[in-house]
Amino acid sequence: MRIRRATLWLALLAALALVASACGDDDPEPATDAGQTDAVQEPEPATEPEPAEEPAEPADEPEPEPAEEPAEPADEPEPEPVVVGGEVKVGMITTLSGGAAYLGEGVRDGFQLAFDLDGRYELDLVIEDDAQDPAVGQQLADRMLSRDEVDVMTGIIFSNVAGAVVPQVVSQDTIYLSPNAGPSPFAGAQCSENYFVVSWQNDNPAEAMGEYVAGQGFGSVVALAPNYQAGQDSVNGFKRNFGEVAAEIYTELGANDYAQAIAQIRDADPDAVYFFYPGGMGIAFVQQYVASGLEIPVFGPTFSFDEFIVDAIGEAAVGLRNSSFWAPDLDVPANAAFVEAYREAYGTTPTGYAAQGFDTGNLLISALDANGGDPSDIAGLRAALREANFDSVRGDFEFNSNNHPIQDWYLLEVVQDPVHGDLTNTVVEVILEDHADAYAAECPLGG
Amino acid sequence: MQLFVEQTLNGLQLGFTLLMVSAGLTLIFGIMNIINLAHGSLFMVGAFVAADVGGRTGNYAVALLAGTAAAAVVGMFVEFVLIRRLYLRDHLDQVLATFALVLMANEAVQMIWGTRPGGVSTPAFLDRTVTVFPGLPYPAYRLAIIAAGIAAISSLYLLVDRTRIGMWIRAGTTHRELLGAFGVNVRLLYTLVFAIGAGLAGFAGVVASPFLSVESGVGDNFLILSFVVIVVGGIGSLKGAVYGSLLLGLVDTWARTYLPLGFDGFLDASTAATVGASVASASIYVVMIVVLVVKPNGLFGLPDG
Amino acid sequence: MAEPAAAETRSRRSRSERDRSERDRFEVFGDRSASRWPLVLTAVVMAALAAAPVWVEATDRGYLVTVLTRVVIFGLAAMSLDLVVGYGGMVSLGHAAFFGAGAYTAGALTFHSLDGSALLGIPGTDQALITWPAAAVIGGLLGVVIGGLSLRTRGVYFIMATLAFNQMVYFLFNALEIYGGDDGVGLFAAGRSIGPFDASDDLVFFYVCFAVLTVSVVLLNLVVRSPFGRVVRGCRDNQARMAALGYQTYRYRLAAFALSASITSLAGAMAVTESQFLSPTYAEWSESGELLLMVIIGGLGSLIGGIIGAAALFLLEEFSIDVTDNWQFFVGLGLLAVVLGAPRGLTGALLGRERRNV
Repeated sequence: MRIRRATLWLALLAALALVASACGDDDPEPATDAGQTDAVQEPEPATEPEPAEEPAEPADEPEPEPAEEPAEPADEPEPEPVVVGGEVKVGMITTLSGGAAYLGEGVRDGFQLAFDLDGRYELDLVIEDDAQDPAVGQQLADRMLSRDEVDVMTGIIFSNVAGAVVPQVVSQDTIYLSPNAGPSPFAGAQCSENYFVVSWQNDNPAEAMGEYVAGQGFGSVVALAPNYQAGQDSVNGFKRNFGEVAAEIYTELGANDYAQAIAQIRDADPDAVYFFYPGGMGIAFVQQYVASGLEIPVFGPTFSFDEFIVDAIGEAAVGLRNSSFWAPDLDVPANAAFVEAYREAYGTTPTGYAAQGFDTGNLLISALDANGGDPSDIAGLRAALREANFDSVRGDFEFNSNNHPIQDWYLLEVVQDPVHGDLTNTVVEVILEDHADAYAAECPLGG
Repeated sequence: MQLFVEQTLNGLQLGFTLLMVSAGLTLIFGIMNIINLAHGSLFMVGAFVAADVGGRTGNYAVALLAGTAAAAVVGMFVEFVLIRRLYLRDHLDQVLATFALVLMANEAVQMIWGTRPGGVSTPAFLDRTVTVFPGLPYPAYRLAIIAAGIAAISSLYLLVDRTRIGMWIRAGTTHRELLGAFGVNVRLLYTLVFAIGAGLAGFAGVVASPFLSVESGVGDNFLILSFVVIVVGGIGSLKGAVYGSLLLGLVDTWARTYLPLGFDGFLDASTAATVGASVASASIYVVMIVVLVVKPNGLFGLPDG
Repeated sequence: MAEPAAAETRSRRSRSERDRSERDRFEVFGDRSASRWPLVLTAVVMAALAAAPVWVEATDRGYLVTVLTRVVIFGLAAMSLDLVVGYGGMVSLGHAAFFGAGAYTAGALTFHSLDGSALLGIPGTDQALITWPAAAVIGGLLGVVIGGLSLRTRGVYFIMATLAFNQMVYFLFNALEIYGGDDGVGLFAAGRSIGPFDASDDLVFFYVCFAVLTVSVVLLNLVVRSPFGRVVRGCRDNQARMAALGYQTYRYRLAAFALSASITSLAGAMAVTESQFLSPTYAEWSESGELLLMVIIGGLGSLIGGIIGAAALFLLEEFSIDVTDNWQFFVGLGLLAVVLGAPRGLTGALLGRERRNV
């Protein structure tokens, strides 16, 4: 009896392993030596795991596989189909789980949309969730480079993940396009000719906000951020244009309980609060801040006031001011087309993350166009990328000597969207024009 | 002073949340001699179900009830299907089987609810502040957590100390075989105790969830902290769980507040924050080591653990 | 191995059912260890492992070599954990602390050699002939400290205490801001120098790790069959009796714990040389659980079971990750099946069957 039961369990385990290996790669594997083929009575899982596998909402994506060449966007006033095209395999490591899942989804959807609208290239997107964990990201990168043999990599949201992944990617002579994270070390001494930041250097949005808050005459400010590279960059950037702050409070990355930080703010009693909390952290912080009874005015980069976060505050958020490189209503022709296409495809107003993903996709397309559509020609691709010859949704866009953008920074304000009724950000004014980052001089890549 | 009062309240809030988790764990261990790594998963079940129900109904009370009940039911089910088979097994089997449950639970919640965390918002009538100290408004919800913790633990204490079931439970910790001889259905009693422990963990998961990112593995941290509580307080001792939880909640919060300030003098702000936070995270383990050295069976543990 | 004393056998028989199942559990080979089969199985597994990279290269799946290297490294750690759990009866849920300690010893030395700075006055190096032994020494010392304190407790306290120490070490690594705090730090610029030659090539590195594993397999098999090993096992079965016989049981147990910690730490050092990325993830508590899981799946008290378990787990991951992101669910299901249905793990099942044929 005992033996038979054991055999049954083992057979089950073996069957599982078999199913897994059979589906994984059309081939084999030792671990099954125990159970052999007898007693595969349980028609086990295989079907079960599927539904949960893709976290997002795969149903309403427009045309997930742009396999066919000129599908939908034929009716767009698109650039006439030049006879380039071909396949490009892109490895995307991004955040698709946890409180910051919508950041990665924005980048992914924006990037995909760029290729869908263009329609000429066959995009083979290998996409994985890094769970905001550098160690996970590092392993994924290893796998994508050695096993999937991707041409180009992109996608990372969080600077700590970028810190683990980017050096490995660029050292293997693969191009990495950053759609979000722009950690300071890689803008300065550790810059690389294979590393392009399409979004911004981490300090930039904070520098813009520091400039604005200083101009408003606030004397003492407390700055809060999660304790990781981008958080430190953000506080440093703020101080660069604002001056010294009354206190710097660093909280654990991914934390959702801000009671202690709020106690420290109350203790410091500043004139204003600057905070950088993207994603779920932002939602938790603003809710608890409101609940704590503190009434000190708050400022931050737009990551702390994106559509998801202000939605959690509700009406009270109207009038809050933040800094950004872009807004849905930014008056640029390419932007109007993007916002409309995005709304049509995904049913919501794009976030800044989606705009970054869209620009990243279009930058890559422009480079492929320039080198004849050959993703394996690294040198040609690199040279073409440097030119940044694409219509950015933010208007003027140019790479600095360290492959980081030079761009304008705007003051945004939270308003109720007159058409759609939801809360959104609108452009108020330009804070910094043609702004470059502070680290370019340390980068040996002289232009 | 104001900072100290506010942080002490925060520490108590953490302590009582911890207590609700560790009370169940210690009770289960004391009576059934089961080490249950999946106790944190029951916390997680409570939080997830509450987030789901709360999201659908928008009603906190319903979410609280659903989360607690779901954890209790899942606990009962797990006891019935699995834990029962482990009573006569050694601790290693228990660790492994319940670790397997942790792996499965962490994946199962993703399969059911996806990887986008939901959240429970605080109920409207607690969405305000109470002035606990001149010039110090404190969120009513956090005070309510402390109150709920006190209420939950007092009722548990009354149940164990003053009722017939409680008498059996107490008898079960020391004289298991006799209990059966007296005609008590020990199996049912075990299932009941397990459900109570699971329900408490689920309850803690719900009340804490406004301050948590409700995602896979959210209970793991509480599980490990509860182990420390139990090592400090003594296995199977409810009294030990009370003192252990409150001690560790306060030590942790105070250390997190004052250590970074202490390092601020000679390190830059971000380094001081990191080093301070990490040393603070280790502070409760320092307490544990001291207890282990002085009283290897915990403050209130029975002589032979 | 010699037969256990007759008196001891008798006393075991008289104990409760629970204890009998426990003894049964802890050693797959049990009284059969005099048989040649365990050693044959060990040889077969090692030979298969040695041949595996050649086979994957031949079938054009060279990327699997790194997976196999991880099997070797984690198999080494799991095997040394088996010494403590299977032979010593000490259920440690904190071995990731030692794995992490090894990773941080080797990683820190490498980091400082890249950085050109000194670590407590010692210049850094990425020479594995220095970093790996250093990791083994540090791990052994840490094992003495953690084991020394944890072994003051028994049973379930021991499990919780090791887990708690694990967590403490984890937070300590999180605090090491110089190595990136909780983000960790990449060491991609470092080579994999081993003695005079460079093992940057994945295949070469695999065989270097395999050589270390082979030496450890031989060493640990000698240890468990030595008089020392017999005393450790005696402590597991009946500590009071061993004490009555005049053995300093605490010291024997501590020595076994420290040896295991040292080898686990060595494996941690190898892991960081392999991945060239140092982060506290190595010391996470779930890593402790996974090591234990490998030991159990493979078979407790068999040494080779740890390697079999590591192979089963990594290959399952490798082949199922494309099918489902939630592969760990099935790992849990499999573990449950093994615990409930085949408490002797894969090795026990293999040998159990063979024995009937003998």
